[in-house]
Amino acid sequence: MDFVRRGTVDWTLVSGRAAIVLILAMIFAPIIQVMFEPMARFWEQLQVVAALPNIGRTIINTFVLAGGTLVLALTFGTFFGWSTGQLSPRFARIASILTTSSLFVPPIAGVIGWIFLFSPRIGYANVILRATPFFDGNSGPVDIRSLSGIIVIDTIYLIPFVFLYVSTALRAVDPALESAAMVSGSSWIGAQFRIVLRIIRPAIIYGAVIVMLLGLGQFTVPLVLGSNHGINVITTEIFNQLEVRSIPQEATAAFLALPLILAGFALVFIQRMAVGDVNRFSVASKGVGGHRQPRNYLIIPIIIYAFIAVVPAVTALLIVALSPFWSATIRVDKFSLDSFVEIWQNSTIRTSILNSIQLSAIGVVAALVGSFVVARYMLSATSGRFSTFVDYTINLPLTIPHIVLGLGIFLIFAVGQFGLYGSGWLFVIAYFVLYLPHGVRMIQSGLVQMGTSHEAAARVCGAGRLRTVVWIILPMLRRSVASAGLLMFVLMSREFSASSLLRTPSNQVMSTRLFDSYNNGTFTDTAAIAIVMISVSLIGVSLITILGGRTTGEAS
Amino acid sequence: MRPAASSSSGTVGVGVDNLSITYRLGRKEILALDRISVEVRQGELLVLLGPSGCGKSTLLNAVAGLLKPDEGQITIAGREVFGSKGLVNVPPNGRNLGMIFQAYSLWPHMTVRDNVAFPLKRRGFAQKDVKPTANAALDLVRCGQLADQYPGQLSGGQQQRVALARAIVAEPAVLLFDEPLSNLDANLRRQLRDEIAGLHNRLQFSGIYVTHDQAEALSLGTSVAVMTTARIEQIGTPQEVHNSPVSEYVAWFLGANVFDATVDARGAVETPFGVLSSEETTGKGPARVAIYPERLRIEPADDGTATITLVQYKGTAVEYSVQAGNASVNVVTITSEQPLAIGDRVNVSALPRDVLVFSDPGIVSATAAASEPGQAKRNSEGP
Repeated sequence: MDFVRRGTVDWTLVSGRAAIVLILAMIFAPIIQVMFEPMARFWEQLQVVAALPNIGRTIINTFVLAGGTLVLALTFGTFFGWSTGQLSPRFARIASILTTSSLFVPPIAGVIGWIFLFSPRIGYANVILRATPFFDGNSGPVDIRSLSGIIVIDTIYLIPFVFLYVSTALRAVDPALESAAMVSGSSWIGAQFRIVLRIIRPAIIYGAVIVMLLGLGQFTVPLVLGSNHGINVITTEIFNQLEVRSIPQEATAAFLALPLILAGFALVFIQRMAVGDVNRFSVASKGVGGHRQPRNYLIIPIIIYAFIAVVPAVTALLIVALSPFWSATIRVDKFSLDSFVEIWQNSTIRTSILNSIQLSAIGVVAALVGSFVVARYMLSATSGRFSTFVDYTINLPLTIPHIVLGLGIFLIFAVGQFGLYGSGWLFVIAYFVLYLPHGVRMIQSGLVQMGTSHEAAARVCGAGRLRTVVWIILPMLRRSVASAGLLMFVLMSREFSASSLLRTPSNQVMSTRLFDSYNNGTFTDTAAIAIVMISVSLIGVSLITILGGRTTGEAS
Repeated sequence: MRPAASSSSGTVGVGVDNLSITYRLGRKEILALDRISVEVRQGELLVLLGPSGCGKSTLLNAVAGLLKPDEGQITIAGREVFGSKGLVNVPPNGRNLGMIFQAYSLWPHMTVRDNVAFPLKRRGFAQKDVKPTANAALDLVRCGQLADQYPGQLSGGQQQRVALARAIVAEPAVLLFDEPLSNLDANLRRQLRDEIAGLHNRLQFSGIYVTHDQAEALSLGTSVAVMTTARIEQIGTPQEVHNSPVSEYVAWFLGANVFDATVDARGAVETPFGVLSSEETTGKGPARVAIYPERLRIEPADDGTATITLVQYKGTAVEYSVQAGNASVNVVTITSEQPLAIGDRVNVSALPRDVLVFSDPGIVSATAAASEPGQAKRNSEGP
């Protein structure tokens, strides 16, 4: 009914709805494929998995890693988020940038930096520690290639996620609520625990669930730090089944992925239950009345975190990239750019870098169009079963580990009837599915801020649906679109988990080539590729920060 | 809920002495309070009235301890809570206050009863008294039946009533109101205003009430302080402030028409609307005249000095905009009178006691000579 106006078909609307159905299919198909792959021979696969060496240890490791990162990242992320709420606006902005700064170091690059620091024998930090009177011997004291090492490094990369949820929630808490507690006889600290932290409990729970899911699905850090040393988690075991075994065991890999998919569904459900009736936590009031005395000293722990998260690993990578080889002694006089020249002259490395940029760019364009279509739909249809279904489905890639989605995409598009094995389009499809939720979220918030009146004005002035989108909405949204595009570009260009299953020896992207170089190449080349990757991220993240800064400037 | 001891009336509930606060916005310094001194006697409800940005909320937050002043002294019930050059600064929870906020500020994660019980628990009331006392306070604001609901389930008016209960439940020494009615619609605002006035009558609490609404200020306050930027312009009873404003600004803020005039040698006031006489005049020369719309009279006359430019029907009254030369005034008349139409010529008049005259630059009136900056002119200050 809606499609037909004045006897003519509204083709814009029809194609929009068709696009949504296609997008849903692209997200669902890989997940369903992974779930059904092992079903035909379920019991047989169960026995195969049960017989895998150290499978018990692998499962325990997975939970220890998820639990450990959950506790640590939740504690620090909440503390930093809360601290940021206590700062003056200028300091708070600096704190936000600092806390999220670890995001500009791609984990695959960062973790290799940490190896250069804390490798037992010639890690720079270990060498320095052994030079102090407290430690001796010619190895240790820290071995990063351990379960606790993996937990610590993963925590560093997960803190910003908790931080973002908590600080966003805190910004929405009226300072007058805190003031009200204090004039009612509560001390400042008491008000924080009795009022502020309780009000943002839903955000903390949400952050906890996200971190739990990310922790269960952690792949990059355990693969690089653990796999070669016999420390496996479920995701790395999936990788082993496909990449390390001489004949890829797809059904076994899919069977291993099942619990991760189910955990994703279950945790989202539990989170909805735990948060409960959201209404009673949301009271419409915003920043009226009440004063919060800024406590700017609370930025100090945030500065320390940002320093630890970024500086040592990047410095170690730079030193190795500039040195002729990795050794315990740093020879500044031997520093040169030779390794950068070398990776540029190596055609497979050069191709992988250009591949990443090109495929990410295509992925960004596709994901932006998809995000816009979905965001528009979500805002126009706020109720109804189908829109709830769309909402859940679009966000599935946030709760299902990337390596699992990568496996599904591989099964459908690479070896299935699409036969895209070895094609760059595999990466584009993966990037599109993985990062669509980020794009939808950012474009949706842009649309919400814009309101509906401009669109209504255009429509009553006689513009059609398509004309309104092209001439009114998109120009007004350009900042949101640019931010969303840049963010997705940064995330796509560093993607490793799904890419590690989709690459072929002749069809690589930056992250997979970096991993291969770490395993089979020289350390100096590896460090140089990592530095190139960090630079691409850094440029993207800086542009986002500048754009974001201008947006907030306009708002105030 | 017992009324505060009436025997102590006359003692000081809140004392503010020479209080200054400067905000720093980047490199800019903004003087928010400029050596303010004011007193709230026991049982008195002082209304701070002024436009947004005049510093009235800043003063309230300083009394609450939510903002630290740069200098000055604050006492509550005779106890110094801020002063001695900043060495004394009692935190808000130590000041024995109740406060009502503009956006209600009920804690969304607690039931209504838990919200109201919070001050009792924090102030160490006996466990067995907490629930009955909270219930009694809720009954007092007619919200007893809402005790087990969450704030998010209540209407704005109900939320603000609960906030009122939370503020009075522990019988604090002082109640602070930060524009509590400005988020409510007109009918509710009136209703709640009456309830606050009724509660004040019954409980005789000392309070400071911040608002930018003159009707609210005049009907609620036992005294009213009109503020301009960072200073108090005038303090007095509502009648004094309304009928004898010390400056053109006070008269204008309370709703008077203000326009140019000239006072001649005999004391007659020449205005664009004709010559008016006043009980109090400045010396000869240019002056400003203030007259409330309800106190102007208009009569139709073919040779009238002024013209009706706008007619607004207000239900019980009609408001006319009347123009003569460059000057325009609003005149309110009751509806039973013969309605006039746009373009009608009229004569404008007023009783001499209703014609307020201020010497030209405005700020200082003939009755209140220039005083120390920040020193409020308190014309209720008797011997």
